[in-house]
Amino acid sequence: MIVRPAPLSLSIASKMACVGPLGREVRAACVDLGLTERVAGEIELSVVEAVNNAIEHAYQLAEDGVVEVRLERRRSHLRVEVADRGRRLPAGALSRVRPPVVDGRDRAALPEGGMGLFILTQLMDAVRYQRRAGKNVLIMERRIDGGGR
Amino acid sequence: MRISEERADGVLVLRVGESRIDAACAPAFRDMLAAWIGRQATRVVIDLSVVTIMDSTGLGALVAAVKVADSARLVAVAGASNAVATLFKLTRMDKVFQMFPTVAEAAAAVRQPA
Repeated sequence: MIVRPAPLSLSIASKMACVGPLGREVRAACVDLGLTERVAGEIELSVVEAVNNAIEHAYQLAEDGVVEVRLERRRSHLRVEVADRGRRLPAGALSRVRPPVVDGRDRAALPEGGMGLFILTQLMDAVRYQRRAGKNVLIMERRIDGGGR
Repeated sequence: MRISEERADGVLVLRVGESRIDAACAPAFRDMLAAWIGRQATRVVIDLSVVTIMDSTGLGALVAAVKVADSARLVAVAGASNAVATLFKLTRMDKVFQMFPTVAEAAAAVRQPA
């Protein structure tokens, strides 16, 4: 008999104040799935960055939208979907993700934002974007070997 | 947003009292840091030892603060957890911020430069 944990689905209003509680739920769920605190923290941060982007860019900070997060453990990886019904991600945005330009000699030019997608692509093993039935869906996968080191 | 302020031998130590620095508090965090640092052009240690998660908006607030300082050498971060240190490394901000395990080490470093 194969026992597979049911996927976890969470929805929040598109308000920054709701992102923290959502992140805590995601982290707790990852720990319950047997992932280490470190990996659970990295998945939490990736989800937080994705949800921040949905609120800021897809919903343009309008607080009457909904952001859904779905977490599912597969055999060899954890799959996380972050979905919203706001503006679509510009075509090719994920392939244009670059590391922040950090030059300590030019402090005025240091980036104060625009780092979220870069961070989550670094923390996750695979990230892709789909437009599905009027929704933006960001799909993030993190390999789990022997419990997620 | 809880931050406590403490002075020791010409160094302003700002102890962040929140476990989470995210988009909900980043604007307040940025404004508070900028007010302290801009007002006094002082040597500053930002103690993050109780922070368990920081996102890119929280990091952006720290970047804004370091822009207000007279020199990046006068600002140091102390007590970053592994998760917070990972964020600095990933974004290469560990090249901008001096980072130390303890407030004492960070304070010693910001006292050094002229």
